[in-house]
Amino acid sequence: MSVRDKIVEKIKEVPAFPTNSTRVLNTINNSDTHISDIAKEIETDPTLTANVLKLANSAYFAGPKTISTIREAIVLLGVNRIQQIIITSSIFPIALKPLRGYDLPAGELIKHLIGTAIASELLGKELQRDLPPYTFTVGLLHDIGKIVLGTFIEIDAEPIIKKAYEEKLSFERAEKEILGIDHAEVGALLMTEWHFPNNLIQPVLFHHEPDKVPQEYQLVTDVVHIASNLCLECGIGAGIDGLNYSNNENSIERLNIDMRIVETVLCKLIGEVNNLMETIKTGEIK
Amino acid sequence: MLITVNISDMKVSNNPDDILVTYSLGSCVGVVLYDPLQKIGGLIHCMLPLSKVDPERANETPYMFVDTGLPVMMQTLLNMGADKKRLIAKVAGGAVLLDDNGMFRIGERNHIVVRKLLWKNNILISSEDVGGTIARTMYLHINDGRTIIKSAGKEYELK
Repeated sequence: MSVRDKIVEKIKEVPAFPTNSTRVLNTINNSDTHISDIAKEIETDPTLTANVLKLANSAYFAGPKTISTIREAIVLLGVNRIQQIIITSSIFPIALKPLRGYDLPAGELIKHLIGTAIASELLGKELQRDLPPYTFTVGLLHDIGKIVLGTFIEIDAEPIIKKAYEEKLSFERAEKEILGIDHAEVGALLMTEWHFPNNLIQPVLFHHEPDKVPQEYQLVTDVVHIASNLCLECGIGAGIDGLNYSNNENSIERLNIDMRIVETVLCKLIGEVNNLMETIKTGEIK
Repeated sequence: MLITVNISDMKVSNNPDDILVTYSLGSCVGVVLYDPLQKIGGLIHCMLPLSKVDPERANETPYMFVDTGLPVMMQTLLNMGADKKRLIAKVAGGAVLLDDNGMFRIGERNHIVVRKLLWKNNILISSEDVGGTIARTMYLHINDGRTIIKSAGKEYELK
C-alpha cells in the first residue's frame, strides 16, 4: 500500500462532522424553509443552541443588540451568519488538538482557520468586493486536511522540510512529492466524506494553486489563499512548515491587492481573531 | 516567572527570575534590549514597520508598529534605570513567504526599520536571526541577558 493510499484510508477515521449541525445546515439550504423551522432544528440540540448564542453575541458576529434567543439570532444576523457560526462551533472541537506532525500546539490550527476566515472577510471589505458568504466557511475549512496528516498519520515532517529547503519547493509541493498527496487534497477528500458541497470543496482543494480552480470559485479561492498567507505572516498557525508557502502572483493581480490593503487588514486582524478565540475558549463551546 | 509578550505587545523586567518570551514570530519582528550591568531588559513583538498605515491604532497599540513601539520600550527601560550606552540589542523574526514577489516584504521592511531606529539611537545589534521562511520563538532571560531562539524543533542562543 502506498503512503498516499494509507493516508486516504485514514480519512475515514476522522470523526464525522456533527450530524445535528449537518441537519441544520441542510435545513438552512432548503429554499422553502421558514425561520422558525431553522430555530426549532437548532434548539433540539442544547449544546449547539448554547454555542450559537455565545458566538452570536461575540464581538465579531454581534450586532448592536444582545441576542438571547435563536430566533433573534437568525432574524438579526441572517441565515448566512448563522451558517458560519454553526460551522465555527462544529469545527472547533475537531480542530483544537495539537498537530504533532506540523509541530503545532493545541489551539493553533483552529486559530489559523478562524484567522483565515476573518482575514478573508477583512480583505473583501478593503478591496470593496462582494464575496459570497461561504468565503468565511472556506477559510474555516481550508487547512482541515492537516488534521489527518498531523494527528491521524502524524507525518514525519523532517524529510518534507528537507526536500522543500533543498529544492526550494513550497511545503505543500514537497508534501505531495514525499507523501503522494498534500494537505489541500486530503482536506477536500475529508470534506467529501462529510458530504460538503462543491463550492466549499473546490476552493479548499486549490487553496495553494488558485489558478487551477474552476472559474466560478476563482474569487473565493484567491481571497482565501492570500488570507491564509497573511495569517502565517503574523505567525498564526505557523508550525514546522513556517512561511514556506508562496503568494500566487496572479491572485494578487486579479484581486488588485497592494501593500496598504495588506497592512490595513493585518492591523485589524489580530484583535478580531483574539476576541473570537477568547469567546470560544471561555464560553460554552463544547 | 515566564512572561508572555503577545503580538503587538511589549514587556520589560528587572526581576532576575523572569524570562520574557514571544511565540511564533513570522514576518513580525522581535527585539530584545538589555542592560547587562543593571540587568534590566525588554522584549517587543511588532507586526508592521510604520504606523502611518493607521495612526489612530498606533495611539492605542503603539507596539504594533516598529516606529512607535521601539522608542517606547527604549524610554521605559531608561526610566527604570537602564543606561542607553550599555543597551545591547538582539533581533529575530522578519521571515518572508517563499518567493514573495517583492510586493509586500513585510518581514524585510520590519527588519530595516528596526536597524534604522537602533542605529539612530547608537544602539548596537550584537546578534540577530532574521529572514528565511521559518517561524521563531524568542526568549530573554533577565538574569543574564541570554536570548534563545526556538524554531522548527531547533534551539540556539543569539550571542
